[in-house]
Amino acid sequence: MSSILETLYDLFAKPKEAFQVIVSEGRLSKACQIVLFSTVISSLATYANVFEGSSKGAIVFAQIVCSILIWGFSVSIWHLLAELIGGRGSVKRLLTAIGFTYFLQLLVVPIYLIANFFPTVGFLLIMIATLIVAVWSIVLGILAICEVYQLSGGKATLVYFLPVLIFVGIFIVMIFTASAFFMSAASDIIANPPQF
Amino acid sequence: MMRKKMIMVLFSIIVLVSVAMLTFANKSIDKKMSAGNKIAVVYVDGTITGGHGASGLLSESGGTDSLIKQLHEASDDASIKGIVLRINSPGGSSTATEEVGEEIKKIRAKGKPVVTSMGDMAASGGYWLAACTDKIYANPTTLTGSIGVYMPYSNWEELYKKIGIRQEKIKSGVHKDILSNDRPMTEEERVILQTMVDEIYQGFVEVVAEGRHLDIETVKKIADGRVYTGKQAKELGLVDEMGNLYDAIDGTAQMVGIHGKPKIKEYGKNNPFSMLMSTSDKAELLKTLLLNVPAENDVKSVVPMAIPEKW
Repeated sequence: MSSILETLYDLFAKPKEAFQVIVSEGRLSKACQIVLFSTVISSLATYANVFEGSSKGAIVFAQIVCSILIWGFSVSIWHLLAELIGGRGSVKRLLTAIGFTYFLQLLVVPIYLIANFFPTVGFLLIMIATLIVAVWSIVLGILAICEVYQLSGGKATLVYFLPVLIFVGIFIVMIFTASAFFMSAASDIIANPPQF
Repeated sequence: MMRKKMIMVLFSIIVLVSVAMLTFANKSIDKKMSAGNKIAVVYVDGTITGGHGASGLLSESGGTDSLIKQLHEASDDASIKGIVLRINSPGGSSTATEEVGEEIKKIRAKGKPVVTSMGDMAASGGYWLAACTDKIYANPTTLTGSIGVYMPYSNWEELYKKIGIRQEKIKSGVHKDILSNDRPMTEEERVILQTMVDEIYQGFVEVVAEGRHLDIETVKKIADGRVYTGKQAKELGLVDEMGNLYDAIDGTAQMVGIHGKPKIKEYGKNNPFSMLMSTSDKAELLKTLLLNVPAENDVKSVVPMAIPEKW
């Protein structure tokens, strides 16, 4: 068993090797701890000045619940899509690998502190750091899918983005349907105005 | 191996220290930086009623309990130098109004000024609260005044006879069913109620006279229950300045010696999370309108205060 700190270090420096270790060891309990710790710390930092008292407690709690739900939900969708595409792997191992990537959230925390002391450029700093972390998380997510299901980079990217593409597609169809419905209803009302 | 561990331990320490500083130290820095630089805005919206009002999971609104709580918080916050009371109310219960008025006086006695900004309407109980503050700002078309007291009463005796209803009562005292709608009011009852109305009216007049630095007789001349526009009220000495909420905030900032733009802390404004977790005033209003047929002696929303909301 490798040390958790070493694995997390490798996740920054040598992500491919790190995922090989994570997937082979499959330590889900460690992944759970990382998800919880990272979510709590990053929510505390994010909402340090926004909410106070019970509101802050409630928002941190909500953030933890949402993080766990999103973690489980996205992994289950990716697992389904990876299996459909022909990948063979364990959902538990993908859950573990994706859980480890939550550690990246912590990179933004020191940036919040720096931004707090330089309010003029603070927002820009946070935006840049968040963007970098988001892109890195996507790369790590794709690498995790590659490693767990032994898929090529292209297929893993497709699996990663397919839920988003499906969601956007459904959203566009819904918008068009709703617009068509309202336009049809509006034309009916214009043609036959209600009598009072 | 050791180097990797050391780097990650160092990173963890940086993260934890950052969170600790953001959560605790930053608050004290912020407090020091903004000490005495804030103006609180407390909203008095709708009919002034006692109690909790509408309670949600995270908040409560509508009753004077939450209003007094907000005033307390603003009073206890050392970074707040002055309070602006944004009143948009037709009045309400005399007891609830008096309670809030006393709280305002206590805050002023501690040396923290309270300034009123009138919205569409600050009549009756709304004006009572305004009169307890240091300075009053109103818009030219604000409806204000209505200094007076009344008790609504309807006699439905004839209607009951027509539909065959005769109420029987077993009462412990002669006046226990005072204001009963199934019989005419007796002269003795009228005297009792008139005395109460006069007493509350006298209290109202005294609050206005004291707050506006006018003598009682002058106040009584203008306190015949009529409403005034903001402009008329200024001519009569019931209002100090014409202006909106931001004029009132700037005026308060000048009063307390804040240079530049003051920081504004709003009380009673819901964040999206508390909105999600609390009841909606509109929903409550709709429920009231749709489900509750008003009883004969309910206080209507635009009447002056001085009686309990329901008898």
